[in-house]
Amino acid sequence: MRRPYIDFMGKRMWLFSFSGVVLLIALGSLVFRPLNLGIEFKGGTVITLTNVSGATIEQVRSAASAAGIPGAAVQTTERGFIVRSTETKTVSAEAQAAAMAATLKVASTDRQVSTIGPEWGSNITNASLLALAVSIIAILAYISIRFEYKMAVTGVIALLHDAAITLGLYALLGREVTPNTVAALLTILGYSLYDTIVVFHRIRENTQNLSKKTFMDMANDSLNQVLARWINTGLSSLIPVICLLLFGGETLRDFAFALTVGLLSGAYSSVAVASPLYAMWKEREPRYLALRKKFAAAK
Amino acid sequence: MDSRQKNYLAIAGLVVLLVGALLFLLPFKKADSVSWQAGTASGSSTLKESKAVIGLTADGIGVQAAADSSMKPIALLERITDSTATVSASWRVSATTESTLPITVRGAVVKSAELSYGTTFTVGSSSFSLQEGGSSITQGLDLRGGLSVILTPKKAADAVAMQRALVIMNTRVNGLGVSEATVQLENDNQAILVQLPGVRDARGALDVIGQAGQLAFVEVASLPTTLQAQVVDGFKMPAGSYKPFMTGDVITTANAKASSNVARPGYEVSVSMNASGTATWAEVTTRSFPTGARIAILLDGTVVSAPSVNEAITGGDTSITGNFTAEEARKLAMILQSGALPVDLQFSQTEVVGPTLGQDSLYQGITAALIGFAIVALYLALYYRGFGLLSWISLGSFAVVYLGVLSVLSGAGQYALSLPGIAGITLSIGLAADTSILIFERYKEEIAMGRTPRAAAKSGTKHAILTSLDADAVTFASAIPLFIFAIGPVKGFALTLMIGIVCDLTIAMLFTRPAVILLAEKTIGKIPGFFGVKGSAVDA
Repeated sequence: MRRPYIDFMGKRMWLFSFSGVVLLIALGSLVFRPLNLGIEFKGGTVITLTNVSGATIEQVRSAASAAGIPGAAVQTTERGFIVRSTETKTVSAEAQAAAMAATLKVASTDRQVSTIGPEWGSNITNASLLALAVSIIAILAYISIRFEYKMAVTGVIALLHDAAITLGLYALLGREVTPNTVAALLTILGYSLYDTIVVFHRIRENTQNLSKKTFMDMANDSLNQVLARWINTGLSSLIPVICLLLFGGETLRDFAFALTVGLLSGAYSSVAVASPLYAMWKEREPRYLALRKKFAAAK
Repeated sequence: MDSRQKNYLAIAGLVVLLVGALLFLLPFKKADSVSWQAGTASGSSTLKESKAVIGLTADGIGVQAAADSSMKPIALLERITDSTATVSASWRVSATTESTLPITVRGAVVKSAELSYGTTFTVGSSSFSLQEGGSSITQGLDLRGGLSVILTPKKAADAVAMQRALVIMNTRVNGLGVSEATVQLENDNQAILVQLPGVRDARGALDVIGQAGQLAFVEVASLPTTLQAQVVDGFKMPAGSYKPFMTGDVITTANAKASSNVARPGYEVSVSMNASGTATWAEVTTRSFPTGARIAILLDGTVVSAPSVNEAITGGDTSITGNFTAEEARKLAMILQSGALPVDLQFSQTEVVGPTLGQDSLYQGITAALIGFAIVALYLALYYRGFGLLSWISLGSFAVVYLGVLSVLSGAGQYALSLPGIAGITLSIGLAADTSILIFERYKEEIAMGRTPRAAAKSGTKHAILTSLDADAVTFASAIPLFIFAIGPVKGFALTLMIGIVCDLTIAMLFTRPAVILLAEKTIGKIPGFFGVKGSAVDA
């Protein structure tokens, strides 16, 4: 069976343009439609009620205002309702939830109340940003030591690309960003590099004794050599996460959505962003510049 | 040792690992049941696993150590969660008493019943259920239900003050009588995380956690006679039932030190008081010591110590002796010195989760993970055929070892599965499949390059494992900061993922690689089509 050969590097400007347009949309969304931050970041209460027998959203709203939560945001889930309010006092939030549950005849075993104080959110945000910064440094250090700094930098560019696209999609869709989203995002940072590392490994292997073709062509060969595993590892990571998105219930869906977008973008960027950027950078090295000249002349 | 033996040894190692993991996952559940005789006093029987006797007492159910004659809330108590929050005091029963309380199991009054895990039974007006314990993976609060609170100081507090606040919070939480409650410092000592699994009366618990922290000294003799007998450590005094003669603010220092008394070795707590405290203390001890009367020290109404007065203390400097361990003495000293909360705490995050809600999420999460696992396994079998079947063993072993490690960590109290943890497990399934894919692809590629099945097996699997080592390491490197710096359940996600990565690489080295090499010796060469390497060179 002959494997198809795709000229990724030759089409790299198309790939970059595509990435650029998507990034532009993502960044534009972030600017014009600020992220819908969950109560964890700004303080407030989320009341989750499940097994609500036959109540309509209006009934839930009126139960909420009767319980002392005027103008509550009510969201329907497949098994009940989620009510959000700006209440930051723990004891009153619990009382409101209990009152609502009583009105709607929801058992105490079927409700969940989360209350976040006003200043706690900045703590969570800072902790996440710190984790993000240290993650990136750790990744840069690891790749620089095991491979080389040019791979580290282009790899990190690709993962920032993935993170920006994921966040941009959250902004575009107005999806709520929770600490789980942040965790998923941070995980993507590591995981989106999985494919990139596989490609880099192959490029490094093929770089030894490179003399018969340009660096760019060799990189393209490398991409094609790992194409089958790129597709299969991508699928085998995506399938479980998509199952989580479809069947995992409300809280896990939160995780799964960010992971799905991030994995897709990560798979794409390892081929379309990290590898071509790295190859372009390497071609500027005198050794590979000479190769380029040699083969350009031959053509 | 030749390389062939090494491969067999690696697989043998995996088998040992699998057996070990299975032992943890499927502990021999003997007939852990308790028979009860209604209307008789000693309706009790030994639970094999816990070596404790559970029996009826006047106030409820007590637990008796096999060697001890008195009913105490020990080991087994952790397996019994009461479904009413107020019953905690009944556990503190000092003697086995005849009782004729009717016992109801599943709504019917019975004379004797076999209680297995999960059975709910009621004694008097309280209901209990015997919880399964010891095996499998601990569930976090978001899955089993309960109350989780994060308290932070209103103004930044130093570590010492937070440490004191932690001790006080611990005392309060213990007073609630919730089994498996945890109190710990988080976020660089700037937050206290309180977790009360299974608690029903969330508002009551919040009131207790949020109170001011009052240390009181009470003469036991001044209490009503019925209460006097119940003054033991941990007993929660009914509100308004006592009148303190002194409060904690008179104490200037309290230290734990090794006992100076040769006759009573161990640790003691030495206490100094200010002038007004010294005067009151002198008066009370002078009055109490002839009868050896006791003085109860209460923190927010809960007895933390109730020493007898051995002498009149007029100088204020007091030693509280007892059979303290160093740890107990240190704790008591800390409570004495910092009865009132040294920092102004506020609720920063509160989460009340109904138990059925959590179990629903768990069920959905596990279903989703299993479906994902099945589809990936099916895909691998269809795409890689022979190797796909091999990957089933790899993935199966991965699952067993992974869950085994999680349950060992659970048993050591180091791990609790949370919802984000399920996401971590799901992602790890993908990672494990990735490693197998890298190995098979590389193998097929080397065959295509003209290597023989045997030659390709050795170099191919080695290269593939090196690749996945780097790829996994990068994921691992990004999970570490998440584990260290993130707050709350996200930590659990990072830990789950890190453990998954380690398990994945272990299986790749102990099983997948040796298995491919061993299969390459004869089998693959015989049926190359089944392994997708048709047209391979033939081994000499």
